[in-house]
Amino acid sequence: MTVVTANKLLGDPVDRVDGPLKVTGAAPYPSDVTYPGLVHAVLVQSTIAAGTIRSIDAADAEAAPGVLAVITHENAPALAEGPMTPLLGPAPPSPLKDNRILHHGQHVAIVVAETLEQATAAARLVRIDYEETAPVLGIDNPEAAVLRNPWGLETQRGDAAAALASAEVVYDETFAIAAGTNNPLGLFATVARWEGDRLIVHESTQWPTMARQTLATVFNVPENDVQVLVPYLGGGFGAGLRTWPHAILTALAARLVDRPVKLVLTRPQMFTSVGHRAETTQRLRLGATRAGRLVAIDHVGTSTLGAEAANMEFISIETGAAYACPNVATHDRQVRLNIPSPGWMRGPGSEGNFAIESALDELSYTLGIDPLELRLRNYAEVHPQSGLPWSSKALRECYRVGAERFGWTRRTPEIGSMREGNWLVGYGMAGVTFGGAQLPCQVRVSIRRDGSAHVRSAATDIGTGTYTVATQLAAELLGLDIGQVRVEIGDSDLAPAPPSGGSSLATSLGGAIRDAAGNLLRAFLNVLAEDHRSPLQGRRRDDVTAADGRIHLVDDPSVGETYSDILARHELDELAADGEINPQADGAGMAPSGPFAARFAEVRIDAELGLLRVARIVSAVDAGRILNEKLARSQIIGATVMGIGMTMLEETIFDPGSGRIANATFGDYLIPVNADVPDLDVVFVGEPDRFSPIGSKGLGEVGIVGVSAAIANAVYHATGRRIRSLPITIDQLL
Amino acid sequence: MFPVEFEYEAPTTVEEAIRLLAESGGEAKILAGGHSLLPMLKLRLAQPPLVIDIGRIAGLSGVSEQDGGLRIGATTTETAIQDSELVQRLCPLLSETAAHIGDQQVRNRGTIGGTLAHGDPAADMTAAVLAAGGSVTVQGPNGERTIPADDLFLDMMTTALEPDEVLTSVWVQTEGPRTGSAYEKFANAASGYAIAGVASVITLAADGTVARARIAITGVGSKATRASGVEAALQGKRADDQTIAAAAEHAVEGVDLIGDLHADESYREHLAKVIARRSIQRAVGRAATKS
Repeated sequence: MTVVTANKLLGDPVDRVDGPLKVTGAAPYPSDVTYPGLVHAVLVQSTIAAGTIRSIDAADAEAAPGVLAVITHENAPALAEGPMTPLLGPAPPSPLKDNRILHHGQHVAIVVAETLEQATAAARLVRIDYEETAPVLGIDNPEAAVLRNPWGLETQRGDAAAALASAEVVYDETFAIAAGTNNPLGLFATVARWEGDRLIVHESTQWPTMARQTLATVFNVPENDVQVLVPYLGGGFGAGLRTWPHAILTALAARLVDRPVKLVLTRPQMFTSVGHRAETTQRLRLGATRAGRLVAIDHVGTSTLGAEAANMEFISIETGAAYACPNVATHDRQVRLNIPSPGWMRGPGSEGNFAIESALDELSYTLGIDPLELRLRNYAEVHPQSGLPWSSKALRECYRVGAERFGWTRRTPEIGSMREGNWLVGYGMAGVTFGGAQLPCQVRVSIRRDGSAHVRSAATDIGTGTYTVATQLAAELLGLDIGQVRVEIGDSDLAPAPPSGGSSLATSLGGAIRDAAGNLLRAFLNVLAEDHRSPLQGRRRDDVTAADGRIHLVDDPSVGETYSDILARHELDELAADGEINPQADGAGMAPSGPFAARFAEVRIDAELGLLRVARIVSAVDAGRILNEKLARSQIIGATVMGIGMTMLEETIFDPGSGRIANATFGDYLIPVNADVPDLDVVFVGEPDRFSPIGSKGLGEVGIVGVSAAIANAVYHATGRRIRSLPITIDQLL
Repeated sequence: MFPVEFEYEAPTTVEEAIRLLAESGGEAKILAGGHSLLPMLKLRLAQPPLVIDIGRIAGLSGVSEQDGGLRIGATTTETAIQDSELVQRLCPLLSETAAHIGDQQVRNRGTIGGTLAHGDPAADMTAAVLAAGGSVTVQGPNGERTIPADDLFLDMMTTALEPDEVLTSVWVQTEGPRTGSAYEKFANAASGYAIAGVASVITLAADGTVARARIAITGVGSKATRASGVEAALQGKRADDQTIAAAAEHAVEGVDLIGDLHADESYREHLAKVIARRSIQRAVGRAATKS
């Protein structure tokens, strides 16, 4: 499994700089944090899905050993609602507002005690008398309120209805994908401490800047008086993009008991407290010519939503950009149910891709055109909505290289034609067009007299390698060794940064580091402007570059001096510079691209046993410039495994009567294990992206997209069974 | 989890083991490979006051020819059975079955006596010994007796052994001329336990019809059992694919089907029939090529 990197400015497969800390257990995760006098909180969650609390009897809990407080809606101070969040919409509703119950597992009390065991025991003593009403459950429930185009993100171009009516070939099918749960391995934790009116929170978050803003708003304190710390996070997958009610409750508890308070969610609570991938249904209609040109796409996506919370997500978001089709209409519907609020889960849009890429596969059989060829016939050479050239697009290369590595030409097109003993063999593929995001980001970079550089930003590393790529980038731009660069992130007091989410951070932070590095070299030249002893006196930014810890002339590397010498001579401890990016797509003359990919899957099916095994998956990915091929490959492999889970195993089951999640444990919620994961081949293709200051495009999510369709298409090729419902289960195959 | 406290004895003779068993009033547990007992102790499903380790009793392990069959000592490991040249030559069913058990570590420790005395409904070797026309020898305070495999498994984890008896050896029939065998299994992907397992021993007559069929099934019911309906449907018939498929339809006749989160009853029944067919097909194929 070799990885070919198309372009290398960086790209070296540097080991994780935080690897030793992690394998030795020295990396401090939020749940590891402790303070003198720290006490523990445990949540009490609703055991009904809809209704009201008639009364709460907390007397026994309050009298239990070690208990410091039992906080309920009856004694909690009123909390403000969190702010509108860029990218994500309104914050989740603040907790303990009133006596209403909106979903099973809603936090109705938080118990604080000296020890975790005492808090756990006391939480069981809180007696709640509910007035239960019938919950609204089920995505097809006619009683559920339906929001239409809630985010104004629907696509309209041409006249899809008319084009469908006159198309030579019309496709019309529905798809269903079960709810899924993000399930980062690290249990989300909050440790909150107040120093007077200043709040310090160690929080499992993918976005410290947002968490600070939310907590400041909710507790009505200045943002500067809130500090959110998360140097390490045990995975997020989108669950950490919001400041959820449990975090607010922990900060509230810390204020009320005037002690540092720790709350660690249990695994079952991770299913109800930090979002999940919404259950979705889709109706997809395609119109095409007999020659395989798409003339119309009409895509209706419906997803579940909490009773009052918002979730700014649109599952057919990529449909309008994927193919060169003149008539496209997408429709976004959200159904309000009495369920915990869904949220982002790695790869929003992967649902829509499953429908589109399955449909194209079906069309390929109808028309007798090779699935890969059909995609090429509808290749979007320019951004189909804006007509602008892509900032980069190597999807054709993804198809070509992926097909070659996979051996697509060995595929015989007839269904069930590739058999090995009891195993039916199927080949399937899918194309992926995924959204790109660069978000405003700031960073401060400094160099000290000892020659070391420090990079500081409120960004996070959620396990993906931010520390490492930021180190590589700063080292390269400043001409330093990896070991001379220290990256400090995960602290909201540092320069504001966007989330580790939406596949946006590496490119956004990288752009800001590039800007800061340039500014820092300018700052050094400014210091030398009047320095007659310096060979660089009076030089401008364009004249110099940096290497081996020194600034030198581009034209003559022998003319220059080290950072250390400059700082020492000027009696400076360090020089710092700020950098930022504020991406502006308008007027750029191009459509900012996200990553593209082609996925090829081989499955083996024992049709008599209903046994489905993925034999191998080849992923060819265009993510622009690859910053670190080792980490990039890990990202794609990890996401592909998650895609296998989404396709074959993962399903969050809401009991249709009670609204309780019936499988909120790792024993019952199946995620892929090694035995489920075959040989995964990853290859990177493409050119540096023109819109990205460092040429990269985010690859945190693209790896999950397309896996489902590639597998389902392979299942069809093997068996003739078209599966339009995920996960693919035994009963669908028998 | 930790087991509750227990006493440990490691006798060097079977007689001493039986005496210790009897003294405990049948409350003690015998420890052989420990691959069923230790998990039960740790989960506190078993809380014996005394564990009697029979691993140091000489002469309880090994394979030898005896009475037209193979005598296999109770503490012979599954790996030893899998690798035994004697077993591979004279009763290949047992060797093939052993290779399906758990993983290599489990097979290195787990014993044939242990798995039979434990009577786990999802064990593999239970079906193989049934299909091989086997029996077990047990020893108690009143001496030795032989229990045919057909009479050994009474219910889930319940065998015909008395609480004061120790299983000392297993005997299986040699697979004779024109005889073929196979063990086919649909395994739990995580544990390797049989969700449906079928062991077949088929002897063909000179005219190609089935002279004798012994088929045993495990994993689908509360105990491993002979699939006598399948056997009857094959007896005297020409073993073509159609006949085998029809016979396999009888796979769960008389079986008290179990359903669990890995497979409900109807899926287990379906699996049993498919697995039975494949097992018989392979056994017949081997019988046909064996003079």
